[in-house]
Amino acid sequence: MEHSGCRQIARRGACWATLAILGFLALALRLYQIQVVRHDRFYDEKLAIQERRWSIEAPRGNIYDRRGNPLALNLKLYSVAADPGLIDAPAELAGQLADLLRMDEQSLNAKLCVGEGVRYVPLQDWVDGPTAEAAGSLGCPGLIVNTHWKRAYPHAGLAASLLGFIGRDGTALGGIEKEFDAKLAGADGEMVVVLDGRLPRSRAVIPQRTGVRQPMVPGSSVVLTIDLDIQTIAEEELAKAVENARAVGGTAIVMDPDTGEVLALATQPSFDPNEFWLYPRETWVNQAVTSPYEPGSTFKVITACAAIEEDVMSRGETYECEGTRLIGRQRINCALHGGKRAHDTLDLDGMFVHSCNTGMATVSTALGEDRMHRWLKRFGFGEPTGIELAGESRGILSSPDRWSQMRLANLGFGQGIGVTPVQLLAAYCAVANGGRLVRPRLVMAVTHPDGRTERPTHPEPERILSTATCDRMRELMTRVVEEGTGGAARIPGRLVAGKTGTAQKPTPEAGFRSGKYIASFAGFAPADDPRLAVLVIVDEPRNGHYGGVLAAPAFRAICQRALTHLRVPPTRPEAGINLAMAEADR
Amino acid sequence: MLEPRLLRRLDWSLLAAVLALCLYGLVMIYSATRSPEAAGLAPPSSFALKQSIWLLLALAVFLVTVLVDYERIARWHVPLYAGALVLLIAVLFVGRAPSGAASWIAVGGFRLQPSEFAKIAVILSLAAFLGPRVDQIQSLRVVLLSLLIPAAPVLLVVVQPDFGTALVMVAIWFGALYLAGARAAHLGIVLASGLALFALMWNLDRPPLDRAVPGPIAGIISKAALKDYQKRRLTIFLNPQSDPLGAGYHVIQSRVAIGSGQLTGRGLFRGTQSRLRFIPERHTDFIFSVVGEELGLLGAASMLVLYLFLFWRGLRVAIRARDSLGSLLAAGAISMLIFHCIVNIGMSVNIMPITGLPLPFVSYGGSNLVVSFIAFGLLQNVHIRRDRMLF
Repeated sequence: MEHSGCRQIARRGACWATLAILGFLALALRLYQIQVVRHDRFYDEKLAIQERRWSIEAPRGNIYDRRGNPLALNLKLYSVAADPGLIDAPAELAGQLADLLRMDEQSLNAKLCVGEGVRYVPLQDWVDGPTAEAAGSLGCPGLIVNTHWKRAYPHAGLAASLLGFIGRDGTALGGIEKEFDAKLAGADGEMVVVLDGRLPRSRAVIPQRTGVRQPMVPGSSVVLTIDLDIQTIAEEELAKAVENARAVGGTAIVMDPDTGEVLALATQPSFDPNEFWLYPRETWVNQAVTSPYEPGSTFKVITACAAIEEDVMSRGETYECEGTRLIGRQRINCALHGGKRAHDTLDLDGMFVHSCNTGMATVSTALGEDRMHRWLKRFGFGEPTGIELAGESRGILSSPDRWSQMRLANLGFGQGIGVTPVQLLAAYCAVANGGRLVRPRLVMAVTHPDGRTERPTHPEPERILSTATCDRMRELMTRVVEEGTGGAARIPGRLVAGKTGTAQKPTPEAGFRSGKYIASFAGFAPADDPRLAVLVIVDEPRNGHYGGVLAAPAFRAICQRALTHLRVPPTRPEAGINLAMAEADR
Repeated sequence: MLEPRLLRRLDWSLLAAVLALCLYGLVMIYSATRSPEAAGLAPPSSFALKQSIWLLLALAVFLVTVLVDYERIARWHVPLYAGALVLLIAVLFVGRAPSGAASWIAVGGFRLQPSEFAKIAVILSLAAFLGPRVDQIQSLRVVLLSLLIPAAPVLLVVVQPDFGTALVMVAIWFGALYLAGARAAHLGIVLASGLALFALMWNLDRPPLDRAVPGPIAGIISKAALKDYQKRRLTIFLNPQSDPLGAGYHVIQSRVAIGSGQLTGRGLFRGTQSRLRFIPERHTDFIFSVVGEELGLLGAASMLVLYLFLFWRGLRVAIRARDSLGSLLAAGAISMLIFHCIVNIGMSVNIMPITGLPLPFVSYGGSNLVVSFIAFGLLQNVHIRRDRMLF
């Protein structure tokens, strides 16, 4: 200014400038704060404002038996939900929906008016197709019609422990469902609705930008080696055997001895996977793979194989059975006569056919710890078989340097070791197929939604026995059925090979004096050209305890019916039906 | 007097900065009104085109404002001031209300906003009143008398209600008086009284104040009291989430848009918040949100730099003016422009209340553009005539 204020105005200007620059600085700092420091948060908020994302549920893959019969499939259901923020006239919509969803109009209106911020309010679960369609045709963008897939098992309790089931939260629990969850599950898709900022919101959806962002990928289907018919047979016969024996449970497995394919796997007591919560947890378990048990006399097949292969007592050397034998300070009784009755002089064949415990104890003792242990390992005991089921046990096999004399002797007749049913049956398969240790398997193929089929490859099974050994064992096992303890397994017109087993079942409280037993029968048929290997276990029978009595008839029925189903012609022109029951499992 | 060679003395860099802001604004207006999926809105080019026409008109007005000696212009301050008051009164009766406040008058095909022109009237009148009295500026009497100049239009725009414009006028007064050398204590008294008055208006409808005055006066007073929705608009920036669909909507959408722009922006024409029309008034008051979203911190900061440059050169004009009238005019003009700028951007980034002030030279809107160019013309006018000895 022209007067004296020139310096004054400059000073005032500087102050003023400082103030304004501080203002600009504040703006710049704020920009830095929201655009650089906290930008992630705002970016997320932006998406939340502009978009709505809804998940598209992928249907789970089906589970089929080997012939394409569905064992597990999905039912299509719908539910109706709402995004209140996209509904302009809740009262009107509530009026339209009340009849459709059979709901009270007022409570419906209350749900539609929960306020901003809530993006998803379930209205009605499980509505049928026509209702869902009618709801969808209302054309209200805030009304969400979801498709759901409910897992269903058309055969209810059939193969339940094998298939597993789906928990209420959608997680796969047990069995094939769990083991193949990654393939069965598929991937949920995502539906995106892009909104326009205009009001009213109900007209704000931009159709061109709305649609499937992430397509849903249905799960792959699993084709099992199970044969529905044979499975049904096994279930029926096992249930019958368990009922007759008044047992607490049982297991029946049918395998193709050439390939190791499991054709049937039944466990008792069973449960309905459609309503699993109604059954006790113990029933959900698949004992065939998860629970090791003491096999008893069925295990003598392994001891005998080892003896023949190792040439121990296998060439007619005899042993005098006295019914009881003392090892150290402990006593072994020959089978179930409590040592009161003795077999006579027996060679290895005789011991096996007549199931002589003291004799087999002598054999295992003669084999010694190292050879015995090596043979157990060769047969695959102490290792999981690799069957495609979750929670497979490796069995219980302790190291040989910790074996006592008694333990070694016991092993000869199947005591002092824990095996799983599938382990034992795999060993039988080796005898049946000429010496190859096949790996039990359940899955034949995985079919992907794009049509590709994936077939699991299996390593060539290891040969563990010579053909000669197998031939001799098959003959011995045939004699068990023909003249020994397994008479109840005889099938008219067919040659059957098998072995009975009756094992005392220890309990934590009473040990082996518990009075509880596991009765079993394992074998294959036809003996000269085995098509089926079958193991039947009856757990804790209260009506007798001999495997030859309780398990062998179920074995016979399963074999007979399954062979007929497989159209395997009878090989022996035998007319008469021999109903001779084994009097004992000796 | 109308010497074209005077034009050579223009502050060309300042002019370049302002034109850059205008072009920046045109691009952002085009972007903000581009909404391909959305029907029912005029094609985007129409907004940018309309604004371009306004820009040409504004430049013509600018040229006239620059060429006529500011002393001559200042002589017209009484009719201009009176005209502004008449228009402000008129708008209360015939005004159109685009968003709450009745502030527009339709003239032909265009809409005029008298409150915009009233700001120029205040700048001119204030300078004309204080110019001859600058040696008495230290007296409280002159300070209080000068306060009457913005008081009348402030009252009229508050009734509209348009708090933003009222605050601009107050800011012009403070800027001019401070630069002219008024005592800080006097300014402090006015500021404190203003705040007290505001607090009174805030609480007029609450006990015990609502019962303190007798009946007939109470009716008038209740009109002066701030309405609840006004209070909410002024305070919502403190916590916009408290009313996300109402008062807080603009702020939340704007803040999210700017924040999501990050350092380099989503790309020009790619801002989804604006394209999907989540930012209300994105081509007018909230244009800065579009800048922030599409061009990021870099784009936003470069706009701030342009305004800072405008402020620095403008302040220089005020300091170097040939007389106090020139200084006061420049001070008033620059106060107005910078206040607009800081309050608008502050609102967009959610550190200031929502006042509805446009961003000068950038926001869509003819009245504001013309008025900004008049203020800018006054600034250049004072600048080219800074040295009397040339003539």
